[in-house]
Amino acid sequence: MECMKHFDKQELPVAAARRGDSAAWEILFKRYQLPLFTYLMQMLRRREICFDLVQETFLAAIRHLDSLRCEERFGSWMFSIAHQKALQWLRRHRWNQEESWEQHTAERELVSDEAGPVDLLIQDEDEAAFGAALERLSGEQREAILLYWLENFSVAEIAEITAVPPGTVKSRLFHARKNLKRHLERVL
Amino acid sequence: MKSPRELLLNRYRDEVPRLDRISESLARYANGETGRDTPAPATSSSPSASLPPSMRRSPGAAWRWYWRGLAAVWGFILVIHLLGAFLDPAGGERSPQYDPIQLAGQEKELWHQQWAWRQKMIGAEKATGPRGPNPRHSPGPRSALPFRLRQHALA
Repeated sequence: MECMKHFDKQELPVAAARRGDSAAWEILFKRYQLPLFTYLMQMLRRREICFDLVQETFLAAIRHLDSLRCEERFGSWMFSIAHQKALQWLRRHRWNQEESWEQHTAERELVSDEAGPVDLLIQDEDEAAFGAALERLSGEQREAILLYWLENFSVAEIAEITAVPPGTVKSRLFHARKNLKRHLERVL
Repeated sequence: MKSPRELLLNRYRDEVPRLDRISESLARYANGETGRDTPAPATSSSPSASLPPSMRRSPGAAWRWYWRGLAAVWGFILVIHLLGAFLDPAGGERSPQYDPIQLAGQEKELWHQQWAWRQKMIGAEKATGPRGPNPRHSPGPRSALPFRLRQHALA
């Protein structure tokens, strides 16, 4: 996939980090620490494990930054490392999910184009309901919608992070939104 | 009204101090790891000093393993040597009774007797040929038939 500008126009000091500038690394880590932790917590729900995986993700980033060709894609690269770490952890611990992550790969419905990153605005008092609705999504749907919401990654980027075809990502996003809406409508 | 992003991130805001600590320590580590030309921070003796022991990676690790391996090999040799010395105190040397130069008097005479006896035995063996196996321990003539056929023949 060719280099593309991230929606977040903030220039990340990736070049400085390549030179070993600790201040640059700190900026990068602090930029992504909470989104990565949130993503991992939503996927694994194990606090200590998630701290470890964030740390391992950062370490892997330090060690393999040279392999990153396109600096604009640093964010999706970090998330793909975290995703791989989470999968490795799940494989090691034979995590028993209610639903298989591959459950919805056959679905091919497209996501509506007009949906933006803030297409779902939620009242403060509905936070708990939102959390509960998110919990009820399947692993793949939650993963896709989290990547979309947290970093506004494109379908292509999410496909690359999760190693599935873009059509599958669109399908997962579509079903995630539909299920979330249904759960929230029922609760609110 | 909050966006889903804010809502999600707010759920884990309390964890930020701990995440900050991780980020800071790893940033210090990264300084030593990726920026070989930049000086290491004065506060730590090694770039990985701020990391937990399980995550430390030292460039001298390979050398440490080399020295450990070498020490293990020499330790093994020493143990074998000591064990040999303990089990065979003579150290594999011939008993002095077989050394005619260092022997004198009665011992020398005894040695010569033994030597003459050994020569006699060797001569006798040369004359008659090797004694061969002890017939009492011999398994006896073997049948050319395989075991199964032998069993069949016996039946």
